[in-house]
Amino acid sequence: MKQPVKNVLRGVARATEYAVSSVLIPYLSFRYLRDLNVGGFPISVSNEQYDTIIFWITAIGLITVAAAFGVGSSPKRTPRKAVFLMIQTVANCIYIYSYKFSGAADYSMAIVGFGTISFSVGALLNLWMGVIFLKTALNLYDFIDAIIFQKKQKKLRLEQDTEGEKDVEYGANNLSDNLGVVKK
Amino acid sequence: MNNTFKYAIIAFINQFDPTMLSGILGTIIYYLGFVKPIVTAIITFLLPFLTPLGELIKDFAQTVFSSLGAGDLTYYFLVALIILVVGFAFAVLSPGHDPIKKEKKKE
Repeated sequence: MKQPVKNVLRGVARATEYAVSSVLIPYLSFRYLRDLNVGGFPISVSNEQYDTIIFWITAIGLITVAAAFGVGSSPKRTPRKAVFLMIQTVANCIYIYSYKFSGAADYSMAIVGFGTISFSVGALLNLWMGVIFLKTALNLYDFIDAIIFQKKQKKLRLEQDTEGEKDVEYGANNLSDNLGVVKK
Repeated sequence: MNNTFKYAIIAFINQFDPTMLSGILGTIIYYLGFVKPIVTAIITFLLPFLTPLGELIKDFAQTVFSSLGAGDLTYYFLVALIILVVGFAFAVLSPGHDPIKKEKKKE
């Protein structure tokens, strides 16, 4: 299989993975929670900002998926992969912040006959933001590493090419010598 | 299809009476009690390092988020499309290491 086709297929696979995990599953979950109306066993969900949550999931999710395609389709240790990774990390950061902003981080559900279940993952999201900071630092390192690696590779290729030319010249000299021997 | 799935969930939930549901929840909470110390230890260890960094990123996200427009998906779709096209163009025009091409060049 040709390299461009391989790249595109890798990109599509990574984009699909992100589309399922960061757009489709959250989108369907929040949509079902919004529409859930259980007869005989009423569940009332107090959070009413589902439309905002769904909007941000779709909007930022789209950018995350596109960046994931870029990351997947780029070869290893290239600056463009690092740039796409950076875009993906920034998109992820805003994606997580959108959860907090839209109120999905503080959730409460009242079940009639049982009580209320409520949870707040605001502190955990802050922790995750810290992880994103570390990821950004790693991406920067990847970017610098990719530039250095590409320069080294270029230098190596140039050296190989010049060696190849030398070999060809050496081979030609030998051939002329041999021809000379035959002539003699 | 959508309604079928919804009714299936309703039928599934209707099988249980409230006391049974509370029993199930009680069991889940009982088992979560075993996981709790491990999660607490990890979070307590990481919290002092990561929370200040998280606050920094949160401020950055807040700034970016406040400049983003809500209600219209067109802009986001366009941005995603641009990134996708750039990614595709790079993947096709500059594919990186290509052993087939190298072999052809050698020949």
